[in-house]
Parts: sequence; C-alpha cells; structure tokens
Amino acid sequence: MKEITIEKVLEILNTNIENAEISIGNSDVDLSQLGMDSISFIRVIVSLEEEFEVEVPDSFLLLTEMNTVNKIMNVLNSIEIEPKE
Amino acid sequence: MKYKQIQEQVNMIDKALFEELNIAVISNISFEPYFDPIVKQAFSSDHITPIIMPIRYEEYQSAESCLKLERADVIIIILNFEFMFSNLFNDIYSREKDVKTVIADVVSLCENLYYFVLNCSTSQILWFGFEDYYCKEYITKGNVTICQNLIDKLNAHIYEFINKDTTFVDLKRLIANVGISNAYHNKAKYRWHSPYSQQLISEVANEIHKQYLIEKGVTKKCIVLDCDNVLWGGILLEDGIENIKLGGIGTGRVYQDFQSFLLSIYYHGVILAVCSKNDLMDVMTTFREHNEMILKEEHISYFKVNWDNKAENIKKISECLNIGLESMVFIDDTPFEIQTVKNMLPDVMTILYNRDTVYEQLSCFNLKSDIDIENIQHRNNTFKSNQLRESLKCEFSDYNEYLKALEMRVVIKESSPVEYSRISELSQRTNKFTNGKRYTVADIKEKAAFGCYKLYSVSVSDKFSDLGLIGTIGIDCNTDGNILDLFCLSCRALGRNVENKMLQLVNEYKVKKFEFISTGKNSNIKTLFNDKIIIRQF
Repeated sequence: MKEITIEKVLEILNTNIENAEISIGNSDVDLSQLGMDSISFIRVIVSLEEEFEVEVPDSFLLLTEMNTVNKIMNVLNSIEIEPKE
Repeated sequence: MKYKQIQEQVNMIDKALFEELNIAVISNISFEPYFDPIVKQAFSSDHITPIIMPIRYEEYQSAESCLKLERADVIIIILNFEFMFSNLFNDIYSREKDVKTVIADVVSLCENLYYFVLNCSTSQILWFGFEDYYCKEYITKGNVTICQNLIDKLNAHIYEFINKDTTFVDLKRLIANVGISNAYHNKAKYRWHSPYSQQLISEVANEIHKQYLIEKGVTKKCIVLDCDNVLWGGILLEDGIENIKLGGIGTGRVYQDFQSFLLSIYYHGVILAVCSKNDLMDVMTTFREHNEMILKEEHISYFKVNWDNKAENIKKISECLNIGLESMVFIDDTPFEIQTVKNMLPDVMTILYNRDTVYEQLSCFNLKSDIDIENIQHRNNTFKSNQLRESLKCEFSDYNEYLKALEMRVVIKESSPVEYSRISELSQRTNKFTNGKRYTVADIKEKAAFGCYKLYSVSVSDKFSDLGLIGTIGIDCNTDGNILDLFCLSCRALGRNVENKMLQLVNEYKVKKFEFISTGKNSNIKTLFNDKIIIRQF
C-alpha cells in the first residue's frame, strides 16, 4: 500500500470527474453536486485502488458513502489498518 | 494494463484536428471504467474522438435516451443474457417455461428495442449477439450445448429480423478470440454490473472500429501477388509445373489455403493482380492447367509477369487499373523485393509473406459481408476489356474517333432504391473523381426520401463490356438555388468523356453551389466547374 495523500485524491477526482475543480477548500461538498455520477464514481474508485494499491470494501461502494473528499479520505484510511490480502 | 496507463495514453493523443463521433451504447450492463478510453484508443489512428453516450436498456425509451439516439453516428446494442434473465435456464429445467415461449418472448423484447431505435435514427447499428459462456454448467455436464442451444437459437432469430443495414456482431466469437477464461471479470461484475474483462472490452472496441471502417468504406482495394512461394511452394522456372507444391497435405496445403482465403476476399470486392519474375506462359499455364489451383485466370484482373523491376510493374498495374498506390498491398516472399517496393513506392503497403502472419496483416482490408457478385464480375470484365480497349486505341490517332469505335453508351437516369447500396459504395470508394462526400446507404435513403433531392445513376457500356453503375450525381434542389451535393465517377470510367455527359445534366439544373471535401486526390475536379458555380469547401 502506498501513502494516502489528499493531494493525490484530489488529482484523481479532478482527472475523472468532467470539468471538476475540486480543492481542499471544498472537502465537505457533495461530489455529486460537482459533477460526479455513477460512471465517474466507478472510474474514481478504480483509480484510487490502483494508485494506493488498496481494495475499497464493497460496503463502501455507494455514492452516498464516498461522496465528499473527507469521506473518501476516511474510507481509504480505514483500509490502511486492514491491508489488502 | 492499468486504468491509469490507458488514461495517460489517451491523454497523450493530440486531438487538435480530430473529428468527433457520437457512439450511443444501449446495454443492461456496464463496461466501466475501460470502455471509454479503450474505444478512444481504437479510433485514434483515424483522427476520430468517439464520444460515448451510454443508454441503460431499462431506460431506452426515455426522452433523454431518444435525444442520444438522434445525435448518435453509431449505435451499439449489447444485451447481456445473464443479467437480463438471471434464472431463466432453471425455469426451463423446472418446466416452468418452455424454450419455444422463451424464444418468442426474448425475440419480442429485442424486436421492440430494435424498431424503437430504427424510428429514432438512421445511423449505423451494431447488434452484439447474446452469449452463454458465463454459464458454469460445463463443470458438471461437460462441454455440451446449454439449455437446448437456446442462445444460438435466439441469435439466429435476431439475425433474421434485423435488416441488412444493421450489422450483427458475433460476441461469442470475440470471447473465443480472448479465451473464455480471459473474458470475464468477476470483481467488477459483482461491484458494478461490469462482467467483462479489459481484454474482452478491448476486443469489442476493435470490432466497433472495424465495423465503422467497413461502413465508411475505408479499405485497401487491391492485392498484388508474387507467385513463387506465395501462391505455390517452390520456383516454377526451376522446379517445373509438375513439381511445385500445391494442394495435398503439408506445404502444398499451406499455399492452397492461402489461395482459398484470397478467393474469398476476391468475392468480397478485393482486386487481385499478379506481379512475378517468371515467364508469362509458365504462369498462365499454371493458372489454367494446374488442378490444385484455387485461383483461376478469371480471378486475376492483371498479370504483370516479366523480369522487370517489380516497383515499376506495380506502378503500371496501378495505372492500368486506375487504382491509387495507397490502395494497394504487395505480397512477396523476398525481402529484397519488399524493400525495393518500400523505397520506390512508399504509398504501397508491403507484406513479407509468412505462412503464420500473412492473414493478420491483411486486416487492412475492411470488407462488407454482403457479396455483389454481379458487380465484381462487371469490374473484372472491365479490367480485362481495358486491355482490348488499349489495343483498339492503338488503331486510332484521333481520340474521339477511338471513343466512337468503342460504341459507348452512357445512360443517366434517376436512381431506384435497389441502386442505393452501389451509390453509397461509389461515394465511399471513389477518391479521384469525386466531390468527396461519403454517404452510407442510410444517408442515401434519407436524402432520396426528400422530394427536393434529385439522385441520378450513371451506367456505361461499350462493345467490350458492360461497366454497370459507375457514377452518381446528387442535386439538392433548394429555393436559394440548386446545390451539387454528390458527384462521383469510378476511376474505371475515367477518360471516356462520361464526365462531360454528367456535367451536361448538372448544367441543366443551373447549379449554384458545389460542395467539396478533399480526399487528398480530388482537387482536379474543381477545375471542371465554371466560375458561376461557387465551390463550398469543407
């Protein structure tokens, strides 16, 4: 597993959500209001998993569970405790 | 390959001059996250950026979906049987349902979808068939057909009801290409209904690209073939006709199989020519008399058999057949000949013959499945009779007298629906004498349906042969003045004043504007029109 940084998470979000300009300043804003839909959500998850070499548990694979930058950070950090098999 | 790598590769493509292509995908499954970037990669070599517009099968009738279908240039329909009818096989086993009723129900669903799409759009449709390789019954039953061969029966029914302008793609074959064990991705299946692997999605993307090129008529046109160790094994001059390897088992079979493949692509419109360093009589005798030859003399449009430089010979073949060098493929087993042609004629695609790789390299041909044998025979007769015409030409010093002696008959008449397919083909295949407009059959149908669009077919025959439909004219009769929308003449009929007859018709319509798109080879056509016609360049 690689070190999880908010900068990298923001980069992944901005790459995968069309026309998004997400920054630390709007870490609590609902990403669906910033353009994230079910398709970009999948792209974000796959990118996060590849980047940090983790596997997001299926129970978090809902737009409502990971719809802000802070929630994403929390989920990723919670996986850190249980490394991928 | 990682998703990030694919994304990076796509981002590196310079899309400055790329044309957008709207692709609507109707499906009950997802292909995320790979489909979008992989399709973009597949089309990048043609300077096209596909814009993927997913449509959920469950919502295909919604207003938003209709808008997407109307905007689409290509429509993909790919329904997954497992997700659509998850427990259906068991319902059949328990006799809760019978195969006949199931087929009727599923076909009815598919028909509803198909006719709905047809009502929304005239664009190209690719229908991917059902597949049942996901089914794990083989573990206990062995590799027998599943559920009375239900999936194949359904596919046969769907193939029957889609019309000939829709392409039915065999998804089972694409799965076979990557291997069943490489075709699925269980993790993504259970996470977001995306059951297919990146490898299979890549195969699907390449197929979409291939079918797009076929529809647009982007293909090479002619193969120039060496003989020794390409059409048969051995050296004809040294071994003699009785000792060359052809047919039977072993090496001889290799060459016969290749000839059989060449014959099949000949029937799909590819022009075959021979260019060999040999004695002409020996080669002709082999073509005419060797029992194991699958290719016969009548399949070859031009024989250039001599001891001259092959690049010069290919150039002459290109001139005689009126085919641009960029549309030609040369196959030879000698690296020296390949290199010479590469250096002297860089536009010609060269293939160094190798038993195992030659077929894959011929994927540069993008051929329609339907066979117009009459047109192919017309075309080959024209090429053959060109040689007779050349002999006749030598007898006349005055060109007009020669044309008179040819007893040419040019017929220009309003087109009928049976000719739309040929007209579409002409618009897509002609590169020299064309205003560059490329139309699919659906486009032609749509235009002809408007009363103000006048579509004409030009047919030519002479004392040596009937060339068939070799030209077309499309005039958009507009209140602001008539526009010449479509104007093309096959290279087979160039230099016979057919173009002047076509111009007479254009002049009768007092055309004000002429629409022109460059094909890179057609700039001369602009000089045909007088100053009164405005050329609208795209």
